Amino acid sequence: MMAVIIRYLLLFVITLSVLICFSLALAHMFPGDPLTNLSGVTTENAKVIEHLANKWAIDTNPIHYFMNYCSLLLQGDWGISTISGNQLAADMARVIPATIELSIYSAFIAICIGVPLGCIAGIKAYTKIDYSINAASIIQYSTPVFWSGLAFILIFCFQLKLFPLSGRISVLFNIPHQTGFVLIDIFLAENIDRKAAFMNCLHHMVLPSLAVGLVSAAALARLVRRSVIDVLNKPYISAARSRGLPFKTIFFNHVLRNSLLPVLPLAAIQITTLITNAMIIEVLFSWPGVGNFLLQAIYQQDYSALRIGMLVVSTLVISLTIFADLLNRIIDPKKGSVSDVSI
Amino acid sequence: MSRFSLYEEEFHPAPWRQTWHSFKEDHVSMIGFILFLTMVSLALLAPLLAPTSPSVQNTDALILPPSWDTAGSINFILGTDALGRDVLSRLMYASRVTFSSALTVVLISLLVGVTVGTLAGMLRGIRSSVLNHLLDALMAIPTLLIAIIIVGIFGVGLLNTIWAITLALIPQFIHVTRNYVSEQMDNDYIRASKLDGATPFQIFYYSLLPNLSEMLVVQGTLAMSIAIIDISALGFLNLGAQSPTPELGAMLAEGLDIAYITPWNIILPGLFIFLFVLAINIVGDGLRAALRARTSR
Amino acid sequence: MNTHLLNTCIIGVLVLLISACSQSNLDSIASDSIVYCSESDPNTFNPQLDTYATTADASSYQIYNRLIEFDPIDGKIIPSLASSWLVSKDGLTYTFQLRRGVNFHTTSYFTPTRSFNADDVVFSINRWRNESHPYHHVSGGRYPYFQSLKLSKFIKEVKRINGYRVQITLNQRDSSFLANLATDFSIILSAEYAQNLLINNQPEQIDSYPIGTGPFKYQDYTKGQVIYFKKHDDYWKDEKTVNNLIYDITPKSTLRLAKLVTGECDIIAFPSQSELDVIVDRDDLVLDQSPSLNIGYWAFNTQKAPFNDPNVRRALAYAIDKNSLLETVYLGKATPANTLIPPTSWAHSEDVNDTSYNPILARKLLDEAGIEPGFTMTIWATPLIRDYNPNAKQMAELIQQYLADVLINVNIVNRDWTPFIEKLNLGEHDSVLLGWSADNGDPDNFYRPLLSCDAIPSGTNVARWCNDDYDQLVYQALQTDDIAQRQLIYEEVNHLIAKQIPIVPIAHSLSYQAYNKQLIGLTNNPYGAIRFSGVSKSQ
Repeated sequence: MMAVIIRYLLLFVITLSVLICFSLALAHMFPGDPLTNLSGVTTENAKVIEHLANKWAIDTNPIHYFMNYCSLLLQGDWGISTISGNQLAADMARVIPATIELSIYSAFIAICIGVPLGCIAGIKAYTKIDYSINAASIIQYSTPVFWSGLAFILIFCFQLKLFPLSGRISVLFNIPHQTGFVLIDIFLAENIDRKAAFMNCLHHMVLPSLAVGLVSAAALARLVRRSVIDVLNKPYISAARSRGLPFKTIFFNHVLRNSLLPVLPLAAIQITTLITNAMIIEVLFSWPGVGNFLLQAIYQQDYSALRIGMLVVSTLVISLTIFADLLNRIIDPKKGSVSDVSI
Repeated sequence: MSRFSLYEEEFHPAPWRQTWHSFKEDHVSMIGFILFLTMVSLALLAPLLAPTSPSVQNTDALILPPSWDTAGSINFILGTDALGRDVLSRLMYASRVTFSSALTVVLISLLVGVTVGTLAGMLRGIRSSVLNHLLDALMAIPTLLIAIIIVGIFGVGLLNTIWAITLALIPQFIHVTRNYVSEQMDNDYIRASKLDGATPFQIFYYSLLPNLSEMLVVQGTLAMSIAIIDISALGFLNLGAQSPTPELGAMLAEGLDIAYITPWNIILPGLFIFLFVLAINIVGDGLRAALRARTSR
Repeated sequence: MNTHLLNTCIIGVLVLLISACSQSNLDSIASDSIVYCSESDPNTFNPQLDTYATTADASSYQIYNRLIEFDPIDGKIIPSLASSWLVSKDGLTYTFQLRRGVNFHTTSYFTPTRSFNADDVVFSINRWRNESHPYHHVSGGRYPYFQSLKLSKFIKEVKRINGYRVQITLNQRDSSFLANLATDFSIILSAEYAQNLLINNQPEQIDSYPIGTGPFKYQDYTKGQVIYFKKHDDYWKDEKTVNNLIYDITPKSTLRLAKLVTGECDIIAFPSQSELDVIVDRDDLVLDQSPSLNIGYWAFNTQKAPFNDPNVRRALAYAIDKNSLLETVYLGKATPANTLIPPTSWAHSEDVNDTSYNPILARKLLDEAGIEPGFTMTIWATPLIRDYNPNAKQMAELIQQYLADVLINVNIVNRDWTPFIEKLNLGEHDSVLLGWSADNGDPDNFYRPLLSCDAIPSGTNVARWCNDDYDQLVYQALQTDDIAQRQLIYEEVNHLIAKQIPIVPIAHSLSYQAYNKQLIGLTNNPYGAIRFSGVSKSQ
């Protein structure tokens, strides 16, 4: 157990250094001056340039350069955004929680819809119910997320006026930034109507989370269905049935747990899809998250912001995947690495 | 198959035929397959079928709704866009661009992925866990992120997004191939070839590839649907194809400007993307089911 | 069966949805707030530093006041911080009597100890006028509007006579001087605040944490998202104003319209021309349209070959059909332009030769100028949506098609505004689609900023055209107040432009304002930025 954790820690450190190395290389690969891409400062002042070159150790040998970069990253000095002049570390602290928030809501919706539907389809396999769930999921899965997001906006916001269409909360509430998670910030904020703000916030999150969550729900339903069918064919289920146990007991005591376990690693792969979709949906719903941030950075050719954004998002996604893999290993030590991706 | 066989010999169709037979029996899969063929021929035959060129601007017929609308015109079956271009022609050419780019993406990544994956699977020494895990880690990086980086370095454009998506898909093919190959290497038929003195290349070409091909087709359809969605998503985000190149996602983004006047300009390109992906997913599903049916027989 | 688990889940989701749907009690806050969906981030909160309309919209009339201003209805100059003024007979000395008891904003970052006086006026003008002023180089040291007019060279001295009287002396007559002092850019800053910042060694904060005398004070700003303003309780003018002013920054015009329709915004910036009908169709929304002093044009980079050749520029002008551009991009709701200035101005000349659509002549001229078929050029399309060009990208695509007919390839360059204007100022473009909205009623506001030599470094002359005859004429026009005399000079100028074609004038458009019916007291200001003082909300 300890060995596994250490191995994964090592793996994490290696991956992280590869990513950092890559982000450093990006500063040289992007158009423009590498020093500007690192620090975010555009200046012609020779003194300032010299100071920056010293600080980022840009002219030293590669190893020192890299180590210096790592230590600056650790200190939280990530450079500033070329366009806005904001500290990138502060920017990230603002946008990353927003994306995580949207992803959590979506994952919640995906699980709440995907798992029960998958179970039903699995239990009623090869019946009309199964076919209709299957059809619904393949249709949902084939819909590009930006299209369904647009459809939601046109129908629910514009025509029916049921939901607001942009942001995390109405601009009327000026919630000071503390943790970055708006639901928590509401409770930390003073001088506002907390209940109204909370309701408003829930109201705002429904459509974007649904748009992202439904795609993952469709994928999850198919995974769970397959797994439930496999488990139902296992001899121990037949044994339980022959003992005359009610189906409810069999399902909750034997089927559910055993069929959800193999789904876990496959579902972990969906994290990437979920976050990608969340980043696209952010643009549609003006959700102030990292997807919006990165796209603004690319439109405005803000390379220092791109460099950090890329580093942070890939670190986030990869550590989530590694963590899921580790969890999977701990739950089921027999198993090797993540098996084939199939839905 | 004739009912009265002279010899009491069992009929043994080739594995591919078997798969095809069980695929054919499933009506849904066949419908998906026909839909797929229709969409592909619409795209590929665009120069022959399209009523007009996709870039002709009819400034006297701006933002027309489709012809079934009372304000529509029969000259433009699916209406026109904000520059007076025929939407039907644009959709067909756009499908062509999107589909052929997706196909390019899948073919390149398949070729590279299978080569690297086979090598990684056959050469035992390299199968160190670090490499494996690094690959898994790479797989986790979202396509959108890779695309943003590539666009940042080389600028916007369809070609750059094709590279980006190819890069993002390669690890998946490597992963699947490697797992499959390393599993197969322990099997008796490979061992037999080895004992016969086959070189690694011969083992790959004569023994592994025929087994691999079906798995690759299934994986390819999956990759194809991902590629189409990704290319159009990047087009939608204005990172991919630039005007006047018609591309489904970019068309959708253009239609957004006039979404309240004619929602058709966002409904139709989206519908095309959806139908493409749906058809490919149904075919992929059918193939997978057919394969499962055959191997478990 | 598995109904238990399922039920729990379904109930959970339903509870979530229902609680989300229940209308939250926002009304009390909403009725005391105006939400303005602006189209972009301001570059700074000091309009002296920028001619970008969004900067002025976010600061000029909200945070600050000017000495004098334009009456939005008839364009006359009326008192603001200066209660009265006097111009000497020779037109060289201006004396302003200042208003007493005008308070600066009290905010979390500054508490004023005195009210507005002559020191603030001297400080505000000297900041851009005087290069040795301690604040001149703070935030870049570029004052594009004043620099393009060479205003600092016109002014000889700005003198404090007593606490409430200021005298400005000019070197030579400038018939547009008062009009320039009334523009969005001539705002009054707090000298005391500047002094405090200098002591604390953070002078650049003066432009990012603004202090002014205007009806609203700056509260909070998140880039790319939202700006919060709060009512200035001690505002000198007695006007009914809401408590909160919120700028919801929404770059996409479709989204702005959607927010207006769903009630998330009370008023939106630059409604897209193609969506105007949607607004007209709705009973709860108001669409104001008014004639505006503006021009949308296609400018060539005249410092770059082959566009330095007037014949090439003329040929390209003949290759495009302006009327179809007008039909398509402005949906016919604009006047075709034949020169810089709109027909409503007295400086307009009707008889200027306009280029009409003639692709054959265009190709012939191109052949004569030695431009081979297959020549490739770039058109930079402004990313901004403005009245003068509601969709530059679309216009660029149309021009691309027209130029393809005369065998010229066009690459359209699309960039976000910041990199766009940066590269434009470096002169990397071949041609650009842009425009200009007047800041005051004086025709000089078109001629000098757009095409004079001094306007090249300040970035407003994107044609980068420098013609001595032109400069001489437009400066000559400033020497007199006699309109008939000026008219004659501008007539000559208009013909010079038509002969040289540094820009192809395309359209003069209407200006639009779309807002919710609940807003009361909104005026459409044809001279520059939007103003929210005196605007309130009915229940």
